[in-house]
Amino acid sequence: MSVEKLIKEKEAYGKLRPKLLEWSKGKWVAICNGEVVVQGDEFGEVVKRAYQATGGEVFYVTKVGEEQKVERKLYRNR
Amino acid sequence: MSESSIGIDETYYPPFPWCLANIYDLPKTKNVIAKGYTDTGSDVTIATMDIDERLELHRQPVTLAEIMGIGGKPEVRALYAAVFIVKGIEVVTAVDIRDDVEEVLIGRDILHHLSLSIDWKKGTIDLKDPMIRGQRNTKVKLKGK
Repeated sequence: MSVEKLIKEKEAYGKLRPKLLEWSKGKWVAICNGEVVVQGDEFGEVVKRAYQATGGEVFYVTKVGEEQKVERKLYRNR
Repeated sequence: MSESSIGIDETYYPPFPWCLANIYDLPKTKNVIAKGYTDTGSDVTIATMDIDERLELHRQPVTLAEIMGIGGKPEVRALYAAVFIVKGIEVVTAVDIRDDVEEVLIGRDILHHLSLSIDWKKGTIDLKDPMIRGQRNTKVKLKGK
């Protein structure tokens, strides 16, 4: 299932994170099959390039060093 | 887009500004044009189950996020890639697909790419591409104002 693969890619990111903090802090990265496939300055650009690079596989995207900021979403109750 | 691509929906109280959005899946093979309500209070854009069924956005999750309503409990949810075109601006974003909403809510993830002005006193809304100088603004007025 696609979400299960997404969770695995996030776990892989956790292992890569210490090195990425040295080399790619502040960059958006896309992780697929345990590796960084694309990095860049804009979320949308990274998503589009990662889709092309992976041929549509599931990949996980986050911003190195700002994970909590970009992965916390608030909306109002309606 | 025409004048009717933007408006303020008075069936809500208080009235709710909206704009038409051309929504695509990530490979841009399928699209839906939908009314998106502009929700400056939301970090994330919300898509309905109907939009997901038509575009199969669930095929491309791209991140996990802690989603929280004000006063609610946080919930970790997958967000899915989608391409929104609003007023000619294309934004690739990650949407929350929810079965408990009936309308598309355009959050700040998309709105911050646009110039949005709402004058509630005058009842006007103005939405445009901030990079295009001299672009004709689309303004609508609430009835009776």
